Amino acid sequence: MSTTLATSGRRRKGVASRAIVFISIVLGLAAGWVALSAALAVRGIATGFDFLWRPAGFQISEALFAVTPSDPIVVTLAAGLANTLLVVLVASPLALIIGIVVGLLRASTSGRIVLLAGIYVQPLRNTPVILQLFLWYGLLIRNLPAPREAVELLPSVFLSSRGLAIPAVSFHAPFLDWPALHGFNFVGGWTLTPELLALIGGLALFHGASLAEIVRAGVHAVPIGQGEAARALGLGRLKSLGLVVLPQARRLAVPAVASQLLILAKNSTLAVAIGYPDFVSVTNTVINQTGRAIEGTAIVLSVFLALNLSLGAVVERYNAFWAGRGMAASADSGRATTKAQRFTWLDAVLLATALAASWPLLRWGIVEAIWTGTAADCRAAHGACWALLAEKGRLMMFGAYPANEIARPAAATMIFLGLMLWSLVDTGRHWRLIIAGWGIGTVAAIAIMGGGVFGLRIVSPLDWGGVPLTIGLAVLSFAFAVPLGMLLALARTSDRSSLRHVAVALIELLRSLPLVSLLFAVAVILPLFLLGEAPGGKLGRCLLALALLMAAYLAEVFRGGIQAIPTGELDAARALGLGYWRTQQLVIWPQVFRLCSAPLVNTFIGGFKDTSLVLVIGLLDVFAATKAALADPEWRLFSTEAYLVLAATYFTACYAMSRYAARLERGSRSRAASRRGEV
Amino acid sequence: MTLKSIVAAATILVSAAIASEAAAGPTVDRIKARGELACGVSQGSAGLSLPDGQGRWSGLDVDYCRALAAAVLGDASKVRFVPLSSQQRFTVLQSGEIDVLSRNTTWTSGRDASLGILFVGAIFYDGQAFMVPKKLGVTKSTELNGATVCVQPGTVNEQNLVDYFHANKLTFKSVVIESLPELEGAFYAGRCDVYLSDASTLSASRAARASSPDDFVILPERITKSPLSPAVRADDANWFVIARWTLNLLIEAEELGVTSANVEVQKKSESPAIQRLLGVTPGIGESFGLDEVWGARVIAAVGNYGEIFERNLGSKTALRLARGQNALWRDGGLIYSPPFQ
Repeated sequence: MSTTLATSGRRRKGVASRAIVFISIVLGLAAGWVALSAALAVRGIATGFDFLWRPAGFQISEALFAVTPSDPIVVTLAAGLANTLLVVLVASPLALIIGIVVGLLRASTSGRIVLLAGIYVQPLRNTPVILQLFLWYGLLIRNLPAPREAVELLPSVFLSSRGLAIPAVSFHAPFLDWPALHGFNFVGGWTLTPELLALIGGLALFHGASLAEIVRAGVHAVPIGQGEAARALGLGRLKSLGLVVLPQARRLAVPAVASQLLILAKNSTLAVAIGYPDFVSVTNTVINQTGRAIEGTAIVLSVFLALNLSLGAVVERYNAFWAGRGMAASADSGRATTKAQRFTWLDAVLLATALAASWPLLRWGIVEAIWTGTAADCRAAHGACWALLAEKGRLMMFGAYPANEIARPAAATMIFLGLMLWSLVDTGRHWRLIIAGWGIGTVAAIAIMGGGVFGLRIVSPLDWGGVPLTIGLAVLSFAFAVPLGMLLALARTSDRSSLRHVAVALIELLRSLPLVSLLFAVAVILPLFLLGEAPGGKLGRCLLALALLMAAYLAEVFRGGIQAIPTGELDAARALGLGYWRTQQLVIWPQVFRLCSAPLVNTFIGGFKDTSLVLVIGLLDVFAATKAALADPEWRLFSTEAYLVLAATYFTACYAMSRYAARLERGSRSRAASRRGEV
Repeated sequence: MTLKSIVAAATILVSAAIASEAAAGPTVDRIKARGELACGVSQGSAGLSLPDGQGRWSGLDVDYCRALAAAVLGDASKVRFVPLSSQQRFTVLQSGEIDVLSRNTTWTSGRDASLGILFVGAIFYDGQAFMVPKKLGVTKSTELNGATVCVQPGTVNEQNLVDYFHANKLTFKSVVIESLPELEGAFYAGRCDVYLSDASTLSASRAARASSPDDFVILPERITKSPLSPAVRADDANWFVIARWTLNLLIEAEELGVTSANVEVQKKSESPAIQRLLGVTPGIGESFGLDEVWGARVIAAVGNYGEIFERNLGSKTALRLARGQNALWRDGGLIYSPPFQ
């Protein structure tokens, strides 16, 4: 069979399956809608989309086209969508450029360069992006001058706390619109606001760091001999990179890059936190004005579904275009070793520069910091206010857990920390024991938190909060997501097309939904639908949402693992008389878990950071508890300190886990190599 | 048309399902069975509902829920506080996850009419105002033409802003930030000329945040009426009556001079109004489906409206709010209870 025939057949199938996915989703949504409106009509709650044609009544703070408060809501929503697309279209290429450049630096043979690039990549990859947005936005607005003291960078280009005002082209005479200070603000021209700048910059930096790791992995997967061969042919360093290494790395990295860009689109929904009117932020305002939470959530979900499906279609075209043109690189092809380097004068200079650059930070954070005292003491000083922790630390770490039982969340946290340490130091030999340990430890932690055993007073799950809640949500949702993801992956790779379609529909649906909206739907709207107290409680439903999303990501990870197993092994298993399930148990899954151990841990890290979004449904995880601490007007001034503590908390956990993932990756590579008798 | 008839048919089915559920008991029975009142509050709003460093909730909205718990369950501590974002608050009340929404929510006609909920009565009269840096030299809000306004979403604020500027033929730019530390950070860093919020929020922020509070002026105009009110679901008339009259009880007690400290002494009072309120003359408690001494119990547990106000918002707190519109009607304010008779 010729390659082209196979490809076009695949493409037809791809189109057909996407159509089936789309149709079944639409039908499911319609049925759900009918049932829901009926349930709501009984309760005297108005439903329907007629409100979309009412005047919005509020003004969106910036838009690509002119929108007034008297325009219908649907127009305002469209302006929000245009804003979202602008962010995605500008931030994605920036993130790609950063990712490729830094990724190549990370794959460098110089230890010094790898380290420097790592200093950029690691903090960004291992903290929640919403925290980074807060910090960037704070830095930006605090350091820009007032409009009356605006800096004129170029003639008629002004930089101030109102943003970057530049001349703009207009459609009527005199065709050029110059910005000028008029009263309070710059009038005329076009203004790049600090909010948009912080959002685009923050997303590009964060996803640039994630993409850098993908690019690095892609480059490392290209057999090292290829680069050497290119050099032997006389190609220069850059040419061999551009002509030989990058094209191959690109093909390997495309699926991961595509899903990273989709995540970027979803992360743009965090814009509301720093005041950029993206689609979700505008929809939220509409929900608040009209009370139409269900309709609003449905609109957000449909738009993101459409975005995801169209991005998916583009990637599939791209893949199909490249399929069959050239070889597939093997994942265990050996890699260049990083040279250890001696300490030289260059390092000394670098170190000195770093110290000098960080001096203002040290002065603020340590030398002039206030360690104990009241909010008034902090306001009088110039340095950081760590006294915040004495006052609010407990709320931040343990949420609203009953004050006289505080030893219990502390004990639960210690259990989780202990398990984490144990998993990280283990060489992977005792994995059965470790999984059992996690199971027992999690049950123990839940018992300690919930009470009702060992004479502990019962504390409702709704009062749980802080670090134990964050870790517990991450661990439990992962525990539920792994079997669910395995089932989805099996269905996705099944021979039966009906199973495959259902799996594709579920995975694509879940992956395209912003977690905030998914949480909202499952935790807040579901009980409305089920009339009264829904099963599982809010915590249980929240867990379900997190687990479903993680399962969708894991299913894709597992699918990659399953497809990497040579078909010969399946034939061999069949020849030995093994049935379907025995083959799965003895041949496929042991290898899948070995192959996928690193992406498994990385998916867990993603889920761990995602728990910071449960604040939208009113759970006081460590992030929401910090926000609650900052609601106290006395201490609100010291949000930077609180965010830094929070970032450090997330970083400690996530960085340790990502180091672990890297070790697993190396381990599986060397094991695979030794199995084949290569050294 | 067909979709509408399908919805109608489904509605009948669901009504049948609900009818059987409603027979199981109204809200009070559910609260008693659960052993605690589920009270929706904010995720942190100083003076109204805020967890302290130990995770204990306090505030005006919080104390109202404690009063309700004392009325229904006999114990003001049996309240579960459910922190809610502004987007989820109504849906969570509609679904039955909370029994009462006591979360700085403005009472409007649209919300009463189309959300399947009812507002209980104003617990706090607020109004939106503008705060500006003194150095801008602005003295009244009509001088704000072209200004940039920092405002929090999720409330009626944004709409009021448009209405006000439109009515005065002024233009503005807005910066709409959900997160309060970021919003205030933006204002104090000069990203905006004006901070629009409830007057109570503004004065709290100014007192705690500005290195010298005199550098900022809260303009005298109030651009809206903002009566904050608790809300309950519209499907249980008895629960609505209890919620409304527990609020009125707090107000009436202040008017009659009944406080948490003197409630036992006042039971011996000659005043018929006090006797009715405290259940010495029976009738009122029973008419609500409660016991007769509910009123005395609530006041003993949380105090009267004036005590609650002083404890959470008054001169000894960080907010240092004057009673203003929230004084009793006889002192020139708007706080007023219909008679207990």
